[in-house]
Amino acid sequence: MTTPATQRASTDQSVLDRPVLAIDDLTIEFRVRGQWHAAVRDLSLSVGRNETLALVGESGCGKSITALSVMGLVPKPQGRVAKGRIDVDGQDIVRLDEARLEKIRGNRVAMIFQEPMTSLNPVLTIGFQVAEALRVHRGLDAAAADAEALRVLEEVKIPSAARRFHDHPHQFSGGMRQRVMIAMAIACKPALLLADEPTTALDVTIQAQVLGLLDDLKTAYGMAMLFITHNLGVVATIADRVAVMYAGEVVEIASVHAIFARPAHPYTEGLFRAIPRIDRSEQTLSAIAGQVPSIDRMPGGCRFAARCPLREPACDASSPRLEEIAPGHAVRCHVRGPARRVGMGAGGGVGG
Amino acid sequence: MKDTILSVRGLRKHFTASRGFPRATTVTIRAVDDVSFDVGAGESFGIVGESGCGKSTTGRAILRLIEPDGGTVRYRGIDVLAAPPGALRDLRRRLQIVFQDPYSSLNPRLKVGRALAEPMRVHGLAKSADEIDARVRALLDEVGLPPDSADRFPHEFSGGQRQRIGIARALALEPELIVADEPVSALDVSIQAQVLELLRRLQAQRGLSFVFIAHDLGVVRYFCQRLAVMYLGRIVEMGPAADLFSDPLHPYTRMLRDASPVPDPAMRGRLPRIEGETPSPAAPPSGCHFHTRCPNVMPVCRERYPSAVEIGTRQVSCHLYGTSAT
Repeated sequence: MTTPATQRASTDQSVLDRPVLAIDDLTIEFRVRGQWHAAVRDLSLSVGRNETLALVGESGCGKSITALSVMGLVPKPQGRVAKGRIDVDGQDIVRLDEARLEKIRGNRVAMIFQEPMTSLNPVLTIGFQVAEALRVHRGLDAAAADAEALRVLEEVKIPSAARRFHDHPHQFSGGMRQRVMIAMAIACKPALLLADEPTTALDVTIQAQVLGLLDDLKTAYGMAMLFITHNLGVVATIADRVAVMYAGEVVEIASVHAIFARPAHPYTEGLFRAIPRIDRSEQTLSAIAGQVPSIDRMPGGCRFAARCPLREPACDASSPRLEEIAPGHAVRCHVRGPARRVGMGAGGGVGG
Repeated sequence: MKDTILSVRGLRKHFTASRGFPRATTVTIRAVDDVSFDVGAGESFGIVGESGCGKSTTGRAILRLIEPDGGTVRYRGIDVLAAPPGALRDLRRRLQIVFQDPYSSLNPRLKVGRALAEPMRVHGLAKSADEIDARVRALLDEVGLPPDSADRFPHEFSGGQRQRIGIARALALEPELIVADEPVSALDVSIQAQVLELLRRLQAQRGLSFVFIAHDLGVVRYFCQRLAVMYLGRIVEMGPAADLFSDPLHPYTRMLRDASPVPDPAMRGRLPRIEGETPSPAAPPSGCHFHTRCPNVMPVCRERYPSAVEIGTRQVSCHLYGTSAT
């Protein structure tokens, strides 16, 4: 949903068309041995209403910290948002103070995590934990909050929710705990849901259930969902658009159909070739050689160059920019970028 | 199948646990219940299933890392479960294991070189220090690690490299069969592919057999020729991997396959609506353990556990295929 601001629309319409989340030129840095290093660099993306953007990448690529920054949760003092804007509903999160942030967290923006047991309070009942957000953000009294919490628990399909309302997290299975966490997140009907690997710890049959539930809720509330995962099967199942991250940068962004049909970045291609598939017999995997550079040893040019099969001198000389090669499909690559695509760039006119 | 080298019959492992307060009751968890299968020479045999299905316990019980309660395990005709200490020591050399988590399965205070040399010394595979040193270096090279790795500690390596160390350690004793318990599930996709390629290459070069335990059907599909699907301690279906995925016989195999997301958005919309969760292995349902979630459930399923039926190359335990089917 990269909506070019259409002029004819009324003000109300433009609010509806405006992306729920718009990240612009975001750089997040961490201090390693007294030096600031960028964990996320020049990241721009947007998510619209009723849209799921999957943020894909391997461990350490910066996808989780990107989501945390949207919650205003970049750990301080070792981390900082060095530049950029994060607009949620048109309001820049980066420049809000803690008191204002608390009004947004768990209310307009909610997050669910990979491991529900470590995100739920073990000594409080699940009913209390779901109702808490409603008491704090909606100002409901205890009885009204409990009634609403029960409704939400039923909505996420906790079996016999009324009977289990006063149970504690350890009395639930992993899949059910994840449902409780989803109930906490959606209790205040957030405009934006950040889901950080929500199904990674679950068995496949339970994963299928939770993915179905999240998709239903997204449609029911018209939520924008930023879905972080490393599992490309999950991406194909749930995403509308996909952003692939490598070493802190978005290297490719496109609709889910375009990226699976025509991956442009060599890293994206490599990822697809590295997954063993159940619907293929006798496949040959090709691994991506080498490993992700560490945060304090990022190369000067393209960050993927050292592992890239298409590497050229230009790749070490300068960092490529994220550029469109088709409407809604952008790639950060000297070789596969738009300069070569137009056909006459055979001489390699990109830098030198 | 080629000559059978590992033959498991009626393997059983029950755990007991005391639960509850103030009055604890003892429950029996039938982690592995009457499991039988064969592994051929040079074959990769996969065991798949969800958490708690008993696949890891099966792997460990074969090696007697967990003593099984019943059944027999024969390796090249030798009874593993009844082997006296001396014979068991020799078997331990020939049967090795690779664990899931390379972080917790390496001693953080041992340099990699020593970790690899120790088993060689224990089993007397190499005489002199020089010989051990040469073998350690050859091993590191074989699994794709730089030679100076021998003088470094496990924490200096990434997850993928640590798994290579775990594999090198298993190879140190020149084993014939390796039980690989979720060897790639802790790794990122691109690293996972590297380790899978390494395992395949080692298998081809050394003629290794594998019992490969995993929950990711894609990984098993890639690595294994035959596989068994386990549910709550029992094998529900077994056969060649290709047939099992293209035409699953058991409803649980079908559910697993359909729930595994395929990286292709064109296949979307096939996400099955699955009812219910895996019951606790401490209190498995009566009759067929799967009947509480089965879309094809019949009255008989609640009463009797189905016996295994041979259908072509496959074996399936389901009343749909038994003589009792309607």
